[in-house]
Amino acid sequence: MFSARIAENFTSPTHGGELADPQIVLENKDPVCGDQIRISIAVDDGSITQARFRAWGCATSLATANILCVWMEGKQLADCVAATPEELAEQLGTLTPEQRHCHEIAVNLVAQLQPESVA
Amino acid sequence: MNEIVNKLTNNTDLIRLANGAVSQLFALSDEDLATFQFEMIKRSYAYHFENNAFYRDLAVCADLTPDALLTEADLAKIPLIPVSAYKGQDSHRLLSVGLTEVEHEMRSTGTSGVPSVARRCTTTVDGGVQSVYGMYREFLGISKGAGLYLCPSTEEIPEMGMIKALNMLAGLLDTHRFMVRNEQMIPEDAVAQLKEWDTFTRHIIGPPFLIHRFISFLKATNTKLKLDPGSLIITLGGWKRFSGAMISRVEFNQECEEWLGVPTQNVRDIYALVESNIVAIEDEHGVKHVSPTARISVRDQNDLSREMPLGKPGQLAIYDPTNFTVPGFLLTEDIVTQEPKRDGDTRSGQRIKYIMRAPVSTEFGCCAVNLEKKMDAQDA
Repeated sequence: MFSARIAENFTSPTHGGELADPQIVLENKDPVCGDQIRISIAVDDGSITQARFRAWGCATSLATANILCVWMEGKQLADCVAATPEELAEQLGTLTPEQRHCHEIAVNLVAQLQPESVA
Repeated sequence: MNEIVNKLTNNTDLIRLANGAVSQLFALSDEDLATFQFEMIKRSYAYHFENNAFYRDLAVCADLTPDALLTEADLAKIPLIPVSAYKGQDSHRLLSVGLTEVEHEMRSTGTSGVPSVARRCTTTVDGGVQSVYGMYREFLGISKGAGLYLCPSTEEIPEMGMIKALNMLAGLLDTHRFMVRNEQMIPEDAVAQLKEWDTFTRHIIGPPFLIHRFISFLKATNTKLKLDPGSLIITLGGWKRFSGAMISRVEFNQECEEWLGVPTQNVRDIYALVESNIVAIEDEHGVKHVSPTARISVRDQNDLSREMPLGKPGQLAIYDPTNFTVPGFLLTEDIVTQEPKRDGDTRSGQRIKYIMRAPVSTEFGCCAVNLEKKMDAQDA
């Protein structure tokens, strides 16, 4: 049911937590199952320097939150904004049909990123 | 022969066997059942101590290694996991198996919207299925008929514990239909469906608020139905509405009799918790019997180490040895009483009466309350 990638990111999350003074906060909730992810992001000179998550829900959604934070950190904000749903799907790896809502959550979160969202 | 028996009952295999023997366990004497349950809990405790670093730390802090669990009095020392831990970001710490061994995730979403997610490995699913079906057979005796499900389908809200548990009953019926779709129930359709099923014993199944809502429609339209001899009204979910008002059980029973033609002894409520494999189902006297594979303990809310006497309300703790995925030693947020054995009751084991959700609970309500809130918002 769970791929090694999801299992690893769920059981050993590296990016859990919340930034004290984030420049960007992304938030999305699946209205059907209640899964919820909030990611706080620090940006410096157009580059994402830190991303931390808080998440509630199934193992795949908690793993998705960690995967997204790892993926974002060190990237240019503009590159994240330009990411396609396919690219995000690749990050999450193979998901079962029951887990695919987590890809939707990831897409919805990344869609909230805008280059001009940093003051 | 002894060798086979020894092999079958070795370590946690005893628990696997017990899951399939609900009726046989109820037939034991109270003393024998308690001894058997203690043995299962002891083995389960040793299993989780060995396989779960987080729980082992809790056990060491509580100064209760498995070999120190010697008598039934020691059960109260077992560290309990609050159900709120199932909602946390670090719920992976609860696992006694790797996530790749988890077969199923089941949810309960209260009104706060934060889902409680209970994970089960194959062995735990096996045990849950066997014991839940065992309990359904023991108390409901259903093997045929038609089920009018006044709730959404598992297709619409998969993984939702309440619906999943009720849906298991459907496998014992000849036909069934879910009457809530897109958070809407059309009571006229439900009446028409009941009338159409004229060659089946008809049962009505769902959370109390939806059956209550259906009866309100029957009252408003002065439609009196007469279901069949053997028809059951089976409820699962809270009796408190999202508005905070309680549905009176006495009135509910009377209305089932008056508007559905189902006598009180055939109205059966089920208590279940997504985090546990156990259920408690009412017998014909309205007394809820706890699955004999597990033990409950009612704790003093002001001093959780203290057990309350029979009939006195307290916070429900569960020792569920059938959980191989996470330690099944739970501190719930439910206020209950443990009820005495009624004269003439031939079943052994424990009886429970649900009172309310604990006032200290951060969560008001359950899946059913959440569903009702959404349905009312749609109706408005």
